[in-house]
Amino acid sequence: MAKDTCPVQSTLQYLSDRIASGVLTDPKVRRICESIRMLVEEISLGEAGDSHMAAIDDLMAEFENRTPDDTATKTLDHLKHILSDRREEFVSHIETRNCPSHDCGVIAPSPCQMACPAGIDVPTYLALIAEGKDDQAIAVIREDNPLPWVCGLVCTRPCEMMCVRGRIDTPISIKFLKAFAAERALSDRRYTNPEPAPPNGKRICVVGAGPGGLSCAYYLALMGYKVEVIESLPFAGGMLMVGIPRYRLPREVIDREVAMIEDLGVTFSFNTRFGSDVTYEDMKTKGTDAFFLAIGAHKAWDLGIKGETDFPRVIDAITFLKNVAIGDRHAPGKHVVVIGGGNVAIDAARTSLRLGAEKVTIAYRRSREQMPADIEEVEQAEEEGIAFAFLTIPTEITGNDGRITGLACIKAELIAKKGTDRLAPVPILGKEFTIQADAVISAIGQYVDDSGMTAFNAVNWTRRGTIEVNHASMETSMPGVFAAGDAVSGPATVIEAIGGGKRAAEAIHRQLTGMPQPRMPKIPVRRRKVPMIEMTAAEKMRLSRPVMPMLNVDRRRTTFQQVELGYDEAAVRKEARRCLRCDVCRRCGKCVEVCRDKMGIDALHLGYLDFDHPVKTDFRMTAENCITCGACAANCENNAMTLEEKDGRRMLKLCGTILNEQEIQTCDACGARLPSAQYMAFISDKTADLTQKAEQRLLCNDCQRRLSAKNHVPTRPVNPT
Amino acid sequence: MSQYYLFQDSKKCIGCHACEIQCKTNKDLPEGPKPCQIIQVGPKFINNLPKMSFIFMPCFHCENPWCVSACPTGAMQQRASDGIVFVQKDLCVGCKTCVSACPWGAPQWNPDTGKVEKCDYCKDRVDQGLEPACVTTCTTGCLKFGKVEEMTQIRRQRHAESVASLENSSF
Amino acid sequence: MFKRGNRVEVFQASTDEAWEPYMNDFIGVHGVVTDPDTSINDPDDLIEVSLQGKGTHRLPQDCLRILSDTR
Repeated sequence: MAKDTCPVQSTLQYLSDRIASGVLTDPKVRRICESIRMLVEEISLGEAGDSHMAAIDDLMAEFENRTPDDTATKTLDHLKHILSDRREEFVSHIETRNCPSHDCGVIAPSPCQMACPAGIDVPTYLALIAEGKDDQAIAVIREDNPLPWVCGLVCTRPCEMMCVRGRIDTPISIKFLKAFAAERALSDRRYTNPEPAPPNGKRICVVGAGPGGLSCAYYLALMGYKVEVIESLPFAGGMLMVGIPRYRLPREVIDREVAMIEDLGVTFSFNTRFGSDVTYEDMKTKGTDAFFLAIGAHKAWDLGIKGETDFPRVIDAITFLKNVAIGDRHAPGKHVVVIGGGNVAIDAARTSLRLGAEKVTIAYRRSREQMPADIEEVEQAEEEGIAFAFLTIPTEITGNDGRITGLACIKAELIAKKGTDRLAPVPILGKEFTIQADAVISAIGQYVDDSGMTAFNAVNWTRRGTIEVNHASMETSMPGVFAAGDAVSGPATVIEAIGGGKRAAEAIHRQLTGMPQPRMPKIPVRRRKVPMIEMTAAEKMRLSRPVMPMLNVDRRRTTFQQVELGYDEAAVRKEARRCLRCDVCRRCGKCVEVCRDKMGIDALHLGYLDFDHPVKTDFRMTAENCITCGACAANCENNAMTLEEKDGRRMLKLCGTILNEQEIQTCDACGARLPSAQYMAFISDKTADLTQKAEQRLLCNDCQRRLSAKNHVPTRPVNPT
Repeated sequence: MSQYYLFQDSKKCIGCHACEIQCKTNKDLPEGPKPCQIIQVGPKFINNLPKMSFIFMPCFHCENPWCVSACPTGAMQQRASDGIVFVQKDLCVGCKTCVSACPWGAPQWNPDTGKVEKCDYCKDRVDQGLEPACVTTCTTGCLKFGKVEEMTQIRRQRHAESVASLENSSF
Repeated sequence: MFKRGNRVEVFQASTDEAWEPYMNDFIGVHGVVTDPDTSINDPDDLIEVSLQGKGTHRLPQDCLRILSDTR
């Protein structure tokens, strides 16, 4: 069997074929196979419960004792083989109600949910937000991410990269809608924690109160664990607090969401360094059952140029941003040069500007196209007046008496390295120049500070200086010690840390309850399936992603007020309505195929269904040719395309969007609903050479049969003549 | 017109619907579609006596079938060898145009499969030399299936009988 | 050099220590770069890729190649 076919779906096919072909002649074997088939079908539909696998095992045991012939034995062997080899995928179907291979079409996940490193059920919460159910939306998000407000402001949003709506116009503004819902729910006092499980008496020590640690602590606390978080900083949030500047993420946002986690009984020890203020032995004697290391990557790489250690005003961006976050709000200098091209460099530059630096320049070795920072960040920095020096390699920090006067640089050109197409900056001899500066900030990357980790002597470290884990369980090589976040991945994203923390919480729970760990990271879990929102095709097409209102530039250059001001409520609700509901429509394209190739009508213009070569999509064009025959709906496995009748009209809807509506005709005899006039015209055209188009009574199928029975049969009861 | 003829002697029919049930069982159909159907006509008072008939309505397998012309996908077909009109299921997309096109209401909608069902004289059985399912189960033996040329004889005979008995009763 | 939004293919297993056995399931799968190395464009860094039907993972760069029809 090919590796990529879903074992659940192939087992369902196999059993169906076996049963239908009649080769299972023994009645008991047939009954067992039919029962297993029914259970497997429920698994493939996402309807299975916890006891389905056990029930299948029982049936298999029964089967084992009954092999009357070769066919039965073969069937048994086949089932045994697939149920042991691919068992995990059966279990995953049951637990996640998702089929990543898309073979079980009904439960294929949406691309945005699959893209999310924390696996949030995006279409569900968007639909809830569209209807103003912000608190329910937050509850759905928090099943996978305990920090929706934080992520709503700073997430790198892989979901939006995969958003199918982006193939029509622009992706849904998934990120910000989350922030709006969180803010509104908190403001309404409807942002609540789920009921945690009763305490199970087990203690977990989480090292680091960043997004990874917070996420792990939250899910462990919900499962009844006593969680103690050790944090060297005076507050929770980790890089959220000391890495991300306040103009992107206000402190209150972090505080409020951390408070929710504290409410679950998670305790925090701030200003406490693991390894010195509190030790592994301390925690062990306290009875800690497992450790979770989420220490982040807080150490900056050195520039390695002359003068780097000679001046107090040479600082690394991580330390600088941390100092500012802690309260040392002084401009690093009047003329600041930031070295680097990533997001941290931009953050340091924009922060310097806000603290009163007169001129801030970002020096980067390559050109603008190669800059690794997010494009929005770069644009916002430019708007604020940050200068950029591209193709600039710093060579020496110059100055005297401990005061910097400039940064000596050399111009570079990009040359492809031998054997690769990767462009490397190469200095151009003779093109030296100096950028005037009195402060230099380096932002060329961070690594993990392992100084407090000596007690975890059995933990393996990678050659990248990160903690080695098995990504399915986030467990290190030291039993009972788990890790996630930047400490594992190197500097990465908030949402990855949150996803990792959640996975680790589950793995810790599995280990402490004696359950086996999964082979690969779990795929996202479908949380709900909420009803579609009805709207016209014109509205669906006309809605467009709102422009983010921004704080005016003067204030952006002088204060730490939030730069992105957020959408107003009306814009949020509308934007959420723009979602195509890819959790229901899995873009198989059968509807288009049936309408165009089979019916020859070609009313559906849904070019976005194709990932590789999307062509034009226009929901409004369906009404031009559609005859509401319903063939597309009849062939839609997921009921994404539906034909509904309401108020005398027949509507063709795709995930709630009304593609077409036509008036229903009724049977002249019994009043039953009949197809539309357009549909009847389609048939008349086709049968024109058989009958003249004549004024006929409109009759339903039943009445037609009844009438012809009366008319065409000679032995009907008649008055004898 | 197909080479076959499915003839009902409605005088013998008692309206037991066994043919319908056998048909649906043979085709494994859910509630709803009835490829053949017994339609009750009457009762009606004739000479102060209530009279009624049960008329067997299968598909007539027209010579120029509306359903075949109407079908956009080519699923509804007429078998060249013997004129049986049938649905090739894998081509049917469920547009129901055949249902609306047929003047006799023969094609039937199967809501479970989203496709059309239709009397095909049980062509798989016919090809094996068997009779259609409905015929095999008819309790009074009023259904007769055969080639058209054989049927003309039966019909002639029946017609004569019916003319002879008309004065007494239509039963 | 990978940029955010590049369409990529996992075309081979990586020899990097970060390659775990389950990643063999990803070979041949297409996806989109969702988070390249955002600090220094280090070819040695693991980058975040969202793979069709497989979720989002951090992978070594030597197992990825950019698909030519990148939009």
